[in-house]
Parts: sequence; C-alpha cells; structure tokens
Amino acid sequence: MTYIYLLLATLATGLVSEAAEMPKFETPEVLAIPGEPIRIKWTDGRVATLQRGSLEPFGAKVPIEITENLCTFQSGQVCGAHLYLKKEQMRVIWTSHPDPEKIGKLIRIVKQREVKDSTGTVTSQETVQTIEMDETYGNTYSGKTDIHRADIPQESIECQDFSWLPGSVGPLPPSALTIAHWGAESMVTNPETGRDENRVVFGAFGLKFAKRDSTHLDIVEVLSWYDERETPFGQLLNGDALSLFIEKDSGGDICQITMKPNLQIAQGLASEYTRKEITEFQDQVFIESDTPLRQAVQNLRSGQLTDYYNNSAEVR
Amino acid sequence: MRPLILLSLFFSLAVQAELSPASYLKKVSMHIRGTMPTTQEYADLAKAEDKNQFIATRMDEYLKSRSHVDKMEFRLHELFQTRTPSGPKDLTRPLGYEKSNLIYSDYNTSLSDLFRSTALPDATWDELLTSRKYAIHEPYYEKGRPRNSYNGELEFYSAFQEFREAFPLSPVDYVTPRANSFTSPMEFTEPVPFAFTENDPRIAGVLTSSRFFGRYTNSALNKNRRRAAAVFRIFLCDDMKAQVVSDKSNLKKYLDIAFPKQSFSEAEMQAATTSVESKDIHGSRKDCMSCHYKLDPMGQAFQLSGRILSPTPSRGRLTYQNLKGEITDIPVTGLGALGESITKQPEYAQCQVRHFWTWFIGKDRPLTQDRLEELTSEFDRLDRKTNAFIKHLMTQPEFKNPERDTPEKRLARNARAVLQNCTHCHNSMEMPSFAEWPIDGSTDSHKQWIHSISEALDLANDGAKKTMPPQDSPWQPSPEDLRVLKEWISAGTPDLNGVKP
Repeated sequence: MTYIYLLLATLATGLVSEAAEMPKFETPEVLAIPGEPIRIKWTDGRVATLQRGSLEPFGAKVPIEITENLCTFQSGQVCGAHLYLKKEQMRVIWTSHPDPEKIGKLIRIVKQREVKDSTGTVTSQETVQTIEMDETYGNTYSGKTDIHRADIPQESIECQDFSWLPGSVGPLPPSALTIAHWGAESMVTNPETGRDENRVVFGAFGLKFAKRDSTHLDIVEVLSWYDERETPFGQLLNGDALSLFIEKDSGGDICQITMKPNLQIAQGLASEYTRKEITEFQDQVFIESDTPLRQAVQNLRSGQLTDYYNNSAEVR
Repeated sequence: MRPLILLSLFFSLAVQAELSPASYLKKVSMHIRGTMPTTQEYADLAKAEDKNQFIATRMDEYLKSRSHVDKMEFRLHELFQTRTPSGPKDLTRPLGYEKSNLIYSDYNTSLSDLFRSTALPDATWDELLTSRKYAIHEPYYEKGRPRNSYNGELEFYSAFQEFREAFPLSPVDYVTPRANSFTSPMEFTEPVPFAFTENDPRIAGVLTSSRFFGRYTNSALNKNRRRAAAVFRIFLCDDMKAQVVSDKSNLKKYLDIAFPKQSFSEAEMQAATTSVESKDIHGSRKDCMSCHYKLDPMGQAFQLSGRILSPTPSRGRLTYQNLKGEITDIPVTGLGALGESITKQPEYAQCQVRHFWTWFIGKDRPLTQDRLEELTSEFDRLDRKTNAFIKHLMTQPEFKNPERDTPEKRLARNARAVLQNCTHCHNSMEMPSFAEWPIDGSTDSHKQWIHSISEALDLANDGAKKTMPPQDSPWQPSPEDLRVLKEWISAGTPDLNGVKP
C-alpha cells in the first residue's frame, strides 16, 4: 500500500510590481530513459534533475486483543502486529543553470494570477513553489514489485499461542490462512443523521497469510483493499475494532473474529518519523517498474511545470 | 337489518360520485407527471366522443414521459430514505432522458438510475431487486485524464475482477493535483453502463448499489442489522416494531435460526461471546428475539462486504413469520440469491402493492385485506410491470371516485391507528389482530373482544386501572388514544367504510 502526496511548497506569495520582467513560458522536455537519471531540459540549456532520498524504515509492534471469537470460541489472547513505514522524498534541483548559485538548489515554479478582492479590484499575484514529493510506504504486501521497497521487513502477526485461529495446530499457526474480509471499524458521524455509527474505514478482501515460524504469520498477498482515511501507517489496524471473516472450509462456511487494536502509541511514533527530514539525496535513474517514480515523471510531463491549465508558470 | 344495509350502500354510493372527465384527466396527469394537463388537452377531451378512451391514451403517453420517470425516482428515494437536500442543480440524466433540474445530489448515483429504470416502458418492479445492470457514475473523475485510483461508485465494485477489467486503471499512473495547489475545473463524465453476468448470485439491484450501502452504513460488529432492517421495511413492509412471540413452542426454532452457534456448549458460549448475540444477554429475551430472528440471518448475507461490495458471496437466510403465521426460512448464498428469494414471497408482492396504493390512491384510503389480495393478483397477472400496474390502479374506483369523509370513517381510521399498536405485540396465531374488523372474523367475537379491550384499558375510568398494555411495553396509550377508542366504541365500532358490524 502506497501513500503518496504531492508537496508543492509555496515559498512566497506577493503582489507583482509593474516593472517585473515578463515571464518566459515554456514546456520543458522531461527525459525518462530506463537506467539513466531523470532530467528536465529547457531550450536555453538549463537542466534540472530528479533526486531521491529516504529514511531507514520505521517499525512497531502493535498490541491486538482477541475480544470475540465465533470461530474457535477462544478469546482474551493478546498478540502483536508488526507494521512498517518507510519515508522517501523526491525533489527536483538545478544541475545546469547560467547562475552558478542556483546549481544544487530546488527549482522554483513562479506563477502569476489575477485576483479579485472584495471591492472588485483586480491585482496580479505571484506564487513561488518548489517540487518536493514525499512518499510513505506502509504495508509491504501491495508493493513487493517496487525495487526500493526491498528493505521494508515483511509485515506479520506474532502470537505465542495461535490456538485461537482456525487451522492452527495446537499453539502453532496454520501454514496458510486467507481472511475473506478484514475490516477496521470506527465510530464515524453519519452526515445524514448526525449520529455516530460504526462503519468500516479500512477493508481488505482476500488477505493471505503464510507461516514464517512457530510464532509469526506473514502477510503475503491481498486481493483488493480500500481505505477511507488514507493514513500512511497501520491501515490494517486503524479502527476501534477489527472484524475478520475467515472461511472455515471450502464449502464457504464463514466465521467471525473481532479484535481490539491499540495503535495509539505506534501512530505517535510513526508521526514523529514522518516529520524527520531527509538529508541525503542521489540522482534517480528511471525504473519502469517503480510506480511512484512513474507517477512523478507523469506529473512533470502533465503540467506541473507549466501550471497545468494556463501554461503560465515560469521555472527559475 | 336489510333496510339498514341498503341505506348504508346508498350513503356509500352517494358520497363516492365519480370524477368528471376533466377532473379525472387532471388527477391522472398530476399523479403520473406531477403537472396539470395542457389547455389543449382539456379542449381535446371536451371534443372526444369516448372520453375514457381519450384519457386512457393520454395515460399511456404520460407513462412514457420523463416526468413520470422523475416522479417515480422521487417516490423511491422517499421510500428508501436516500434523499438529501444538497448537490449540483444540473445533472446529466442517464437512460436517454434529457437534463433535469432536480436539486438532490442523490440523483446522481446508480441507485437513482435503478429507480428510474423501473419506470421505463415494460420494466418490471422486481428489477429493483434482481437487476444486474448499473450506470456507473464517477463523480471524482476528471474527463480526459488517466485514472490512478478508484473513487466513489467505481471503488464500490472495485474488488470484482470483471469490473476492474471493464474500468482499468491507467497504465501510466497519475497523481491528481491537490485542490489547494491548483484550481482544477471538474468535468463530470457521462454515466457508463456496466452489466454483471445474468443470475450473478452476488448482485441484487438496489441492494448492491453504492448508495444503499452508504445510506445504511453498517459494520461487522453490528452484524449488518441496519441493512437487513431496511430490506425488511422496504420489501416486506415489516418495520421491525418489537413483538412478543407468544408461541413458546417455537422459541427454540427462532433461537436456532438466529443463533446457529447454539450447538456449541454453554461453556464455549460463555467464554467466547461478548457481543449482543450472546445467548444470555440477548438471545433469551423474547422481545429482542422477535426482531433478531429475522435480522441476524439476513445480515449474514451482507457480512463479507464492508464499505465496498465483496466479490465473495456470503451465506445468509431469509427468515420471517409469513402471512400464514408460519416461519419462512430460505437459505441463500449471496445478495443476488437473497433478492431473487424475496421477489418470490407473497408478502413481498403484497408489500409492493401497498406502496403503489400509498402513491396512487392515498395512504389515508383504507386498503382491506381482500382488496389487497385482489390487487396483488392483478400485479402478478401483469407480470409485475410497473407502468401496467399503475395504469390498472388508475382505472380502479378508488382512484376515480373521490372519497368523501364521514365522521364514522374518520373515527374508524383513528381507532384503527390506536389498535395497531396492540397488534405489534399481539401478532400471533393465538390472538386475532385488533386492527382487522370484525375482530376474529365474526360479529359475536368482535363484540366479545371489544368488551375485553374496554376492560383491559379501563375505558370507563379513562384508563385509571388499565391492565394492558403491560407497564414495560414500549407503547402506552395517551389520554387522546383512550378518548378515540371510547368514542369509537360508543359509536358502535364502525369500520373503515363507516359501517357498523
């Protein structure tokens, strides 16, 4: 599961003086050749390069308590879910520019717009932005194909005794397990009634687990999932309660297990982690299979550098 | 006695004079389209030799109009309680109809399209539950841009392989700019038709629409009871008021259906269940059981779906006490199978006829059981085609003859409304319904029951020492309720036609 957000840091906003130089609008060429650094070239010889940096993955063991068990009727056990998060950032800097002071600095996208105030007076306003794309990667089961995720450990459920789970062999976990639906539920106000109601805020269909050892079940695959809250960390557990529907047999008989996660402490730590600054960056070569990278290139080509609709941005 | 009956009949006919042709045409037009006939139509009617034929022809034309479809959509939103007063004013209408100026955001959903499609020529009412065809709306999709994630209605079916193939994500993903970074003019696309395989057991018309799931939010923790309750209310006219199951011999059967885990030992149940399903907390309380034996088995058919629809069908049951007082208990796998099963139930057909009656004849106009059965037969004979049945209703005397109220009828309606509260608890084979007259089928039994009711409610003393309903009953009669009953009994307990037994 990937969580991506585009940060176009607004550096300054102000009125443009009448003497300001007329901006030069241009759609630059974005070169994304597999195995080569990603470059942006302007006709006047300026070149910018996409770089990437990352932090070591963050991990936490989140307690989960089995509160209701309509499968094996054993409840009360407390297990742990090992969840991880990795922060990366992509940025675009000048690597060739007539002003040597600009080399190694973030490119600046300058846009001008006419703004009407409450009295109807129209003024021209200038906005300056940079490109810094933060990415946080949560659950690894959806991103195994991305090369840069290789250092994120496999997420898992750890229990000293798995006998509460269907298919377990004594205290040992089953060799494989499929959860037909995993839902994280929270009390959410229904805007139509104004009442707080339990509803599923994260759900996954066909969540597959495989036994790693006598105390761990790894999350290895998911058929599909949805996430109302789009939180970067701990989506699986991000609710007041978790409901798991497990196929007991091939005949389609399904039973339900309810768990209570305690995500608060880990979420606080994850939040601290995502605020950490990345200091080391390298030029990023283009990798076709790298989804976030493809997205970044597509952004650059789709108008991020030219203000999308008006083609009225100047890059300095 | 005979002169009295003749007098009643004469009185009844006298107050039910048939509408004039112009008034009939106006009523037809207002009920179908929500607008008056044009001046030209009135002029043409005046010239027509066969006025009934003229109105019948107009009726056919009105039933093909967009405003009829709009009006039926509006009625269904009311019934489903899916209307919210917000949203864009100018929405693209699906199914070949031009733009509408309705102001409700909920008109821009596949649920709306299903509502609309039931009013199209030759559409059958059962399609509400059996259709596998949807018009997929995609409110967050920007026209001309590749899509990198499923939103809104697209997301609802996104776990289905065939759906993902029909609506694939763009091969080159794209990150939509944040609204606060760029102002992006949102362009709505036309709804895109999508049909699941015929007889797909996972798909059930309105029940598997994004809006239905969103309106009746639910979760695994509360066992999808809210969704089940909506199905019972809309399709079986069972609004789930608490009832006491007086037939104690059936209690074990109810418990077995609602809580199949009874087969587990007492110790297992004690140790494992902390939910409302716990036998000790809930299962043994008869007033709770009277709803849970229906809600819980149906809720199971929804259980694998959270906010979006599960591609795996869930097992559940359609369980309720039918019109004969017996338990209908049908195992189903998937919501599609549930929808199909519901349409086969006599209670469903009668319930839908009641809805049509409310819309086209009027909620205040009494509908006797005999008349309901007669109309239900006609509904079935017409293959449950929506427009054909509406046309049939509009040619019925109850539509053509305006009912003029009499004090007796008014009194009877008010008394019936009060006595229906008793029926919610006393609804079993052992006790007749107090709201159906004569009570227990004969004049003698009616009189006996009226005597018992008067005593139990202590009407002579305005309820000062009443013994019914029990003190812990959720309904208690107000002084006004008691006054209504007293007046009705003093007037000789006239029925809904004002006739005394």
